[in-house]
Amino acid sequence: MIRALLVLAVIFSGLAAVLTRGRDSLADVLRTTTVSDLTNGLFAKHVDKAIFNAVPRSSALEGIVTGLEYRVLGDAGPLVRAGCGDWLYTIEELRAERHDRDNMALRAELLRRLTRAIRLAGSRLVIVPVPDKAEQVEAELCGVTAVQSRLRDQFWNELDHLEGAFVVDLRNDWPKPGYWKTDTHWDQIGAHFAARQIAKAVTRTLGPGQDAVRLVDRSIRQRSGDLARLAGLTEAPRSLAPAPEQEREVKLEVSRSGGLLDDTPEPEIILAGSSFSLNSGFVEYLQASLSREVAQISQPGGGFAGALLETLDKRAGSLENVKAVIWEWPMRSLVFPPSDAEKNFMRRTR
Amino acid sequence: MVFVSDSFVFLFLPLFLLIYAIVPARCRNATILVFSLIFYGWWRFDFLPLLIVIACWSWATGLWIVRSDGRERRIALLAAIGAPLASLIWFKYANLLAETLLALGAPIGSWTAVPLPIGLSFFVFGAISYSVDVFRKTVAAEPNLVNYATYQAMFGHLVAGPVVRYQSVAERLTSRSFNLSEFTEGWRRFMLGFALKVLLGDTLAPLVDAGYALPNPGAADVALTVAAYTLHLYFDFAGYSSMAIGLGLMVGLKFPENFDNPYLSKSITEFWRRWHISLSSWLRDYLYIPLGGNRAGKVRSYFNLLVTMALGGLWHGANWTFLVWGLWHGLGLIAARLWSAAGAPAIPAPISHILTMMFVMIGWLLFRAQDWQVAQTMMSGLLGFNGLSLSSPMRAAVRPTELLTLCIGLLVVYAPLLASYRVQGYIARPPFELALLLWLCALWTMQSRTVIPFLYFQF
Repeated sequence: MIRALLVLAVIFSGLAAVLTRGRDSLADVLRTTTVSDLTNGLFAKHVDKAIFNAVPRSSALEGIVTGLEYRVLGDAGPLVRAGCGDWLYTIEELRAERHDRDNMALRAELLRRLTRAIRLAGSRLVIVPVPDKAEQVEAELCGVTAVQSRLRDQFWNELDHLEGAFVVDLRNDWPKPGYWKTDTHWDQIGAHFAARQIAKAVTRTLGPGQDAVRLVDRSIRQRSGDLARLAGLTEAPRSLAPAPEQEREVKLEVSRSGGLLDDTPEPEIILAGSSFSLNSGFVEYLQASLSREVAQISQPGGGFAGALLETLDKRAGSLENVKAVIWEWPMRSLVFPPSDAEKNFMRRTR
Repeated sequence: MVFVSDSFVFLFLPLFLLIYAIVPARCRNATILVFSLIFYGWWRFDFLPLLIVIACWSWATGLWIVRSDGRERRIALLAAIGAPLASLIWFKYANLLAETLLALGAPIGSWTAVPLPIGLSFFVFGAISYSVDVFRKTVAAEPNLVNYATYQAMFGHLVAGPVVRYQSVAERLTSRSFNLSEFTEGWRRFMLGFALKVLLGDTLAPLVDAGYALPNPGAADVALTVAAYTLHLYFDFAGYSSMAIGLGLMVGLKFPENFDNPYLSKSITEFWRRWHISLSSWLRDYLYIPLGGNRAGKVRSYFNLLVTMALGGLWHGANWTFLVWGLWHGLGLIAARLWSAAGAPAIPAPISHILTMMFVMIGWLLFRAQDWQVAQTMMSGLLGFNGLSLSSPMRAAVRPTELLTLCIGLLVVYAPLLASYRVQGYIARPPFELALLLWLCALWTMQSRTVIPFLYFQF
């Protein structure tokens, strides 16, 4: 009898939590449900989510278990590969998929068409493929080699010359490691190096910039890496998780000579990148290296060409006065399956 | 709805048990039926009418069979079987036929894919066995529609079996009372099944996916992937069957056992006596024997065996790889029969076990492949055409937790062979308290796994 009661206590306490903590969200779901939601499974999806959120869970316990799994087994979950010495890598850089070659071929074509589209819009395109962290910090991978990164490199090297575009090869002289330990992005040294290399390429075509921009280093803060978050290690006790890293906040000061109504002209360079362009002070370093202001339109999770395609799609007119478009994308995105925006662009430009 | 979800464990199941406990005894089947329809509709409500129509049709034609004789009785049986079977063929195989015809260049125009209602094949097999049993007079036709529909739609076995025959639940459908020891045993089975599926089966799933995604897998990659899939499939399916049996017991219904340590088999014949028992016995009784079974000579019995296994293979999914998998096992069974008929010497048990498992695992390699091209890639990988060692992408994809789970899985599979009887019993039939602990771990794991996809969207 006691045994049965024990189990019933678990499920009925869960029910009580669902009915008390999830009452409002469940009521919302019921209020907004349509007939089509019932037939296409959306209703169930919404209720499942409301119930999931209502069931109490202990993030401290989750953190302990995740931390133990990491420390004892060296396991950082299905999305993150744990290397040596608390180095974490996104599994995206290391895995192989059946359709990798097809996706790369598609992107090669996409590259050509985007290059042509930017050229027709009257701008110069500066292409910046960001090397894989797995390739640049391969020594810390522990038992795994960056074979997939090299395959992507090989593909990129064999790609025909892209007429009308400048390619900045960051692999040469990369300041290793140049990446955060617990984050997929370049660290400030890597970001600064990338900014200088890009600035050299841009300056060669547009000439030196004239804006009075100045970098100001500010306080040091702790940085919790995205890979540590993805592995659930930010909830783990300190002794079980990788140590947080230190990041110096970077700020850019621009001395504008605009008039009363701030009639400074719009920047002539835009940065249409991925989350790399939004991390580690990259855009600030870039502007300082260029001595020019840069319009930042990069997108987190933009992948290969998310930001660039959105600009071409929705703000094509804004390219009229732009002299150069810096298009940064991670090398690993070469093998991503095409996004809806990419498919649409390929259809439109057939 | 699936058993392994917060919605089932913390909303559906407690509400069901609560209402089931307070309604009068005569309303209990209706309660099961209503909850079963909600359980099914959770996925898509628009397929509910199909299930209801099949249940009503099967029930009505069952009464027609009873009330007729001679030729009409046979017509009634054909009608009883034909309509559900036609719906199964349409929903399950129309896409495959259309794709095959299109691939062959047949002018059938454009084709809109037909969605497959979940659990339809179990539903239809239940209906067919009921009609045939009524025709054979091994069971009496059920006069009460609610009772019959409850048998057909009971949420425990609705989605993934086991294939429950009416005769195994007929008596308890009409008269059953609450039994605490059965209720507790039901919970023990449910919790163990839940833990098997979540802690062992689901943990191995990403490793299998990674292996099957490799464009050029090496022999070690394929071997590891197939080993993981062999355990993943077993724990997933046996876990689900255990949960279904447990849920049945909680309300006093006894569903048949579906697995009996199949991976300890020493021959293919033995494997099929231990694997998915409810399906293999269904195929034997309602397909192999009606085809003539062993009665019409050796050659004919081999043919019957091959047809039965091929159709059994195709039943698992609308893909030609399933047909090949069925034929593979059919040929294996024929070879085993030929071996013993020829009076060949018995192979030592450990060797015959290893050979059987290799045969079964090659079968699983085909079973898991999405299409023939993937099957070929995996097969050529296994034969060493892409090298022998574990490739770097596979090493990167394999998590230590998965390797540990693989070892634990092997221990669970081979536990009945352990020398110590105490350890044997503990692993083969864990006590309630251990089942409860494992279930709580599985609940926690289920929730932490659900967190990850939400987390991922942040990046």
